[in-house]
Parts: sequence; C-alpha cells; structure tokens
Amino acid sequence: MGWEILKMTVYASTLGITFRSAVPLLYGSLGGCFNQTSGCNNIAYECVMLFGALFGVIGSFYTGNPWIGALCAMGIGILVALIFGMFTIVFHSNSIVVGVALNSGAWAMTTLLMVSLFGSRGSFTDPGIISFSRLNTSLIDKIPYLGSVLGQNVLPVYLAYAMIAVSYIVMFKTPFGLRIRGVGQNEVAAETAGISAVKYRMISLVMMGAFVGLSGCCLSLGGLSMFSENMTAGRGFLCVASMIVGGGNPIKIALVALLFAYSDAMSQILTTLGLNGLLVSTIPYIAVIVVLLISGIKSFKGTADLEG
Amino acid sequence: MSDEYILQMKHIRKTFARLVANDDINLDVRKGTVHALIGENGAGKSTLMRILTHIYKPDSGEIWLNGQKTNFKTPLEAARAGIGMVHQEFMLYNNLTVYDNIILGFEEKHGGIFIDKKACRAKIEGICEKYQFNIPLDEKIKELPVAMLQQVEIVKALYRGAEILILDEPTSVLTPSGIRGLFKAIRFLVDSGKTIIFISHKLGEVFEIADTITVLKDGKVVATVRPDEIDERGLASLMVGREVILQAEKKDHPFGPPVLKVENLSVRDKEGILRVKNVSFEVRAGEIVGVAGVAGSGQQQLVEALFGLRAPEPGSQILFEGNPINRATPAQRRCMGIGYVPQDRLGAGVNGNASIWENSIMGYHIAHGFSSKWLLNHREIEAFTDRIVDQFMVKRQKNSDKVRTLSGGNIQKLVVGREFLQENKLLIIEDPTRGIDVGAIEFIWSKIIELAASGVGILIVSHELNEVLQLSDRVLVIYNGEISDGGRYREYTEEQIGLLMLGGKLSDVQGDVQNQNQ
Ligand SMILES: Nc1ncnc2c1ncn2[C@@H]1O[C@H](COP(=O)(O)OP(=O)(O)OP(=O)(O)O)[C@@H](O)[C@H]1O
Ligand SMILES: [Mg+2]
Repeated sequence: MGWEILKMTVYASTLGITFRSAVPLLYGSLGGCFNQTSGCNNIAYECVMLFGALFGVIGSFYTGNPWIGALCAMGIGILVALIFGMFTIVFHSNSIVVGVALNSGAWAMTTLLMVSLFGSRGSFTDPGIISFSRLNTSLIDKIPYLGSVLGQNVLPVYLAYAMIAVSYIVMFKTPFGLRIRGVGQNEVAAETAGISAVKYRMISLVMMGAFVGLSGCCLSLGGLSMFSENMTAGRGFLCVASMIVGGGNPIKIALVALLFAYSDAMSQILTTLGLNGLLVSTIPYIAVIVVLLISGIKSFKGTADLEG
Repeated sequence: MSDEYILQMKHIRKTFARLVANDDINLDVRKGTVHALIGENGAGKSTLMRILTHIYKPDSGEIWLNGQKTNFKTPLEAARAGIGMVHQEFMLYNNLTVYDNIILGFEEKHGGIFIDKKACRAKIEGICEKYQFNIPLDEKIKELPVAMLQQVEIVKALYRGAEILILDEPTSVLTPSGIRGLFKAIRFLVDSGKTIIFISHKLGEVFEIADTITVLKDGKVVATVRPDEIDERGLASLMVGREVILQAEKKDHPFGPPVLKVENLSVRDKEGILRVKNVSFEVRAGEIVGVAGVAGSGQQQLVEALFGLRAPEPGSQILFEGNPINRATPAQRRCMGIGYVPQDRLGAGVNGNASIWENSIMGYHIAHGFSSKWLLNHREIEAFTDRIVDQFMVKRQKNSDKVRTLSGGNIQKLVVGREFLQENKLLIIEDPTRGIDVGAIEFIWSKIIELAASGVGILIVSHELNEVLQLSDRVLVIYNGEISDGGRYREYTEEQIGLLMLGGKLSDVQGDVQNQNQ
C-alpha cells in the first residue's frame, strides 16, 4: 500500500490532473497579484470566481460559444471588482469587511440566478453549454510520459502557463509593474513622484476582476460544462494564499499555486484507492497551512524586531 | 528686477482648520545660491516647502519661477518644472533597489512599454559622476544607512531634473562626517548652477553653508538676512524671540545605588553579526551616562537589548535594581519603571495615524494606570496629554488630531514629554533633541538634568557629541561594539573623545594629555 501511494505521487495521471487543476489558481493568483502588490487588501476572490463560473456558463449556453462565455465571465468579474473598488478605494470602507460580504453574498446570488434562469437547484448541466474544445496536440502527445501529462488540453490551459512569464515581465520589466510595487510600499512617496495610487489600484483591480472571472469560467467550461452551487469550493482563497506566500513574485506565486494543485490531484488519486474521501480531501487545505507555516517561520525571530 | 530671482513666492497663506501655518509669506531665492530657511518647530517651514512642491495647495498666494507666474496642478508638474525636494521623513520604497527608487515614475522607455534599463542606468551614472555621488544602485533601500539614503534622495531629485533642490532638515540624520560630505555636495551643486533651499535647526551649519537666511516665526517671515550681517546669537533670538544660551547647567548631587547594571553584554543584529561585544557598565540613580560614538557602532543593538527589543547572547547579564531582566518584555520593563525615547520617532516612537492623546499614553496604559480597572479614564488621559503639551510646548490644535499632522519637531517633543513625565527610575534616551529648535533644546536639556537630580538614572545615546559632553556625568565611548571609558564630566576634551570614537586607545589619549601638559 505504501509503495502504491509512493508510485502515485509521480503517476502521469497525477501530474496531468495537477497540470489542469492548477489553471484556475494560476489565472486567479497571477491576475490578482498586481492588485495585491499595489496595496489593496482584496480577499473577494471567491466571489469574483464564482460569478465568473456562472456567467461563463450563461454566456456559453445562450450563444453556444465558450469564448463568449469567457468574455461574459471576465465582464462580470470586472463589474464585481469595481464594486469592491468603489467601496474600498473610493469610499475607504474596510476591505476585509467588504471582501467577506462579497464572498458570502456570492454563493446566495449565484444560486439565486441559477434557479431563476435555468430553474434547477444544486447544479445545472445541459448539452447546450459548450465547453472549450481540446486542442490537437499530436506533437506533444508523442513524447512518452510528458505527452500524457501535458497533452490533450484546452487552449486556456496553455495560456495560463504563458501568463506566468508575461506576469513576470510586466511586474519586473515595465514601468507599470514598478509603479504598482512602489504604490504598495509607500503611497505618499508615489504621490510625490506624480503617481496616483488610486489610478494604479483601480487598473490592477480591473485586471484582477478580468482574470479571476476567467479563472472561474475555466472551472465551469474547462471540461465538465456545468455550474453547481459554490463550485469554487475555496479555490479563491487558495489564490489569495498563493499570492501571499509568493510575495508579489509571479514565478513564486505560480509555484505555490502548482503545489496546491498537486495536493489536490493527490487527494483525487488517493480516493480511487478507497481511502476515506472526506479525510483525503483535506490534503490541499493541510498543504496550505503547511506552506503558510513554513513561509512564516522564515520571518519569525523570537523577539520583536524594529528593523523588520 | 524680478528676473534675477529663480524663485519667488508671494503672499503665501495656508491654514489647517483654525491654525495659520503660513501667513502672507514672501520668499525670493536667487539662482545658484544656498537659501536657508530657519525657525522654531511648527513655524511653517515644511508646510511652505510642501506648497512649493505642490503637495499642499495654498489658500492664496502666487509662485513665480524664472520671472513667470506658475500654475501647477499636481506635484508632478512642479517636479517637471525643476523643483525637487528631499523630505524630512524620506520618501523611499524600502523593498525596492536604489535604482528602482530613483527611476520610479520617471522611467525611460523603449518599445513604448518596457523600461529601458540601459538608458536609465546611464543617466543615473552620469549624474553620480557629475556631482560625485557614490551610491550602490543594486542594493535594497532597507539595507542602507541613512547618510546613503539621503544621497539617494538627492540623486533622485536630480534625476527628475531638479533645478531648485529643497533639503528639509538634511543634517538631523547625519553624523559629522556625513554632514561634511553633504556640504561638499551642496557646494558642488551650487557651483554647477543649481539652487538649494536648506532647512535646519543648527545655526552653525546655516552660517557655514547659506548665502541668504530667512527666519520664520509662527508662520510669518520675521527677517531675511545675509550671514555676514548677523551672528548666531542674534539669529537665535530672532527665531525664538528671546536670548538663548545653549549651555547645560549641571547640578552637583550625590548618586544612589546602580539602577542599571550591564555585565558581559553581547548582541547580534538581524543578520547574525555580533554588534555589541562583551560590554559592561552601570548607571546609578541620579547619574547621567552618555554613550558617544559614530553612527552604526552598535548603539542601536545595545539600546534594543536594554529595552527588550532584541534578545542578548547567552552569558549576558542585564540587571535592573539588582534583578536580572534579560528575558523581560518591553511591557514588563515599562512596568518596572524603564522609559525609552527611540531614535526613529515615526517608526518606533509613535503611531502616526493615531491621535495625540492615544500616543500620549502609549506604552504606559498598563504600566501606570490611566485606567479605572478595565476602562480608560479619559479625564485623566486628557489631563496628562495637556501636561505634555503645555510643559513640552507641543504645537497642536486638538488632542484628538492625528500625530502625523504635527511638525517633525513637535512629534519629537511629544515622545520626549511622554517618557519624561512618567515616574520612571531609568530612562534610555536616543537622540533626544533630533530636529528640535534651539529654544526647545535648552528646555529638554534642563529637564534631563532636573530628572537626574531627582534620582532617575539616565542613559543618553546621542549622535550629537556636544550633547553627550554637555550633559553626561560619565561618558562611555562605543566603537565597533566595544565600550571604552570616556571619563567623567569635562575630564577629556571634545577632540580626545573624538579620537576614541574613531577607535583610538585611551593610552593614546592620555599620552596626548601628558604631551600637552609637558
Ligand atoms: N496636514 C496637516 N494638518 C494639520 N495641521 C498641519 C498639517 N501639516 C502641518 N500642520 C501644522 O502646521 C504647523 C506648521 O508645520 P510645519 O511642518 O510646516 O512646521 P516646521 O516649521 O517644518 O517644523 P519642524 O521644524 O518641527 O519640522 C504645525 O503646527 C503643524 O502641526
Ligand atoms: Mg519640518
């Protein structure tokens, strides 16, 4: 049994699931990391993602085109993010309170919308919901082992990985990224350099909305073609955790997101062994706690520290 | 006429609620000169400069540049027009590199969207070379000492194309050698055609560097003079409105038993480097012990260990009234009667976003009451806050105002007042008069002497050698983490202590004394 489990850790199917289930986390955390770095204390990821998942389904169901679904998801994401921005950046409400309110409201709102639009409770599946179609990756498929890990995926999966490099470049090679980092560290100093903190926070908030919305629709249109109540199940918070542990560096953020995805994949594979499903499904969350603990230990010194 | 002035500020008025911070101020600055701006704490110097850089909008008044009336709307436009400022509290991003700090907001681009690293770097290096600055571009800000940060700020202003450079109390964070470096840079800048506006509380410096001096008092200009028309005393009385003699009057009184005893204390810094090496000394009740030393010799770590902000190495002993307190937390130490005035007033001394009354009891809310068991006693708090404000002349409007709205010197007075008015047995004081005007320095010095006379043990760690020498009953010199004896009050001269501070040996110093005696 122990040997079986050990072998499973490197199964092509384990890594394949990791590769796919990391996608929503990557979009969410990479899209949000600019907003996070700019000093917005935004935790409304669960909310934006859930709306994105639902509106992806709505868009796809009514037009038959998953890409229009994706656009709808990004649009609603931006709208929700702007509501968040209106409260926190314009009216200076407490961002945690607004975030909690949005997150808990989203479950009810999306369920209500699902019931009133489609008349079904719990979950909504319909042949009319068109998912993204798999790419023809015959070149990759031929590579042994790697082929079955990476191949046969939809386009948004590959784009998510391209986004790691793009985010890194934007964060560290462009004035935009530099200014975002500056605004987050010393708002007054940025203002004296003629940089409006509000403007940069708003721009990055729009990015967050768009990409977290997209990440939601990857859940609902990535393979299953369905929307179910609270289908994000904590993935929004995993994005927040990846961003915090990754500390504003897109590459580190992506690695943490991949780690979370991997533990998720492991738990899925382990259930097939007949282990207690409920127990196994705690693995990703335990992974979060362990990662936070390890990254916290680095900065723990024992005594208070003025320099820190 | 007016075109010989690069800058003219005309009839500037600025109020904050009922407080008039600037009242009909006129300031004319000639190109290629150093124009000093002096005045008491809260006189309105920083406010006037914030108006010039357009961080604040004046209620009325005009700013003319090169004989033309300006109409700036944002700080950016002021910066583009060549007005650069090095703020009293630095405007830097701690986790970014020096290079990123300098270019932020003014990046050279290629391809429209990417930072052109080469062009930016070449421009910075050109400036550093031209004005002889030597700064490490790839280090992070938080790794650098303050003197370096100041150079970064100046280079940053030049990078943004500053023609007029405002330095707001640039010397209050510098050591004597840092000040010499700064003055060299200022002369260089002026020689190459830049104009400097220089704010300082140290009149000696003003005389050394300024071409013109404008004195502010209570938001008004009281005089504009040339340094050869007036002397230091005259200037001080213009500023304060009375005669000031900067001389501590020490009282002779017997010392009690030791309140603080330090034995074999060693402390490592955050990076694990040993910064305090096997140090032993004591402070007796009623005694003022001064620690002199070049900045970065281990003073910071010493004080942090004494106050419980940093754990000492094993084998170290810190005894307060004979009891070991190695493991006591800062809160416990305050309860025992140890007060602390930190060097970094905004970072460690106050919470800038909290009110004045909250800051007045901060740290003492457990130690010395203020609470009727569970609740805060607001009447007592108000009374105590008013005592600080009255006795230490803190210029403020209401006790409920945020501390951040106070002027730099007034924040310092608030911190000093809070610690001095408690019934402490030991006071650890770092740079008590940093950024404070001459009138108030006189007062704080007399307070320190008074406290000692009433039996409080006092440890002063100051970067002002003069302050240590004027106040201390016994001088300790710290060099490279080791402490050597600097003698009793007036035992050694300033030059001899200076030698010790640079690592000279006591025997050399005594040799000097003997040579002089022969
Ligand atoms: N944003 C603000 N809100 C309210 N009051 C303010 C604000 N900024 C400054 N003040 C007040 O205006 C007065 C002038 O302050 P300013 O900072 O110009 O003094 P200063 O001359 O620079 O003093 P210091 O030498 O202590 O730095 C002070 O009484 C201060 O409390
Ligand atoms: Mg000031």
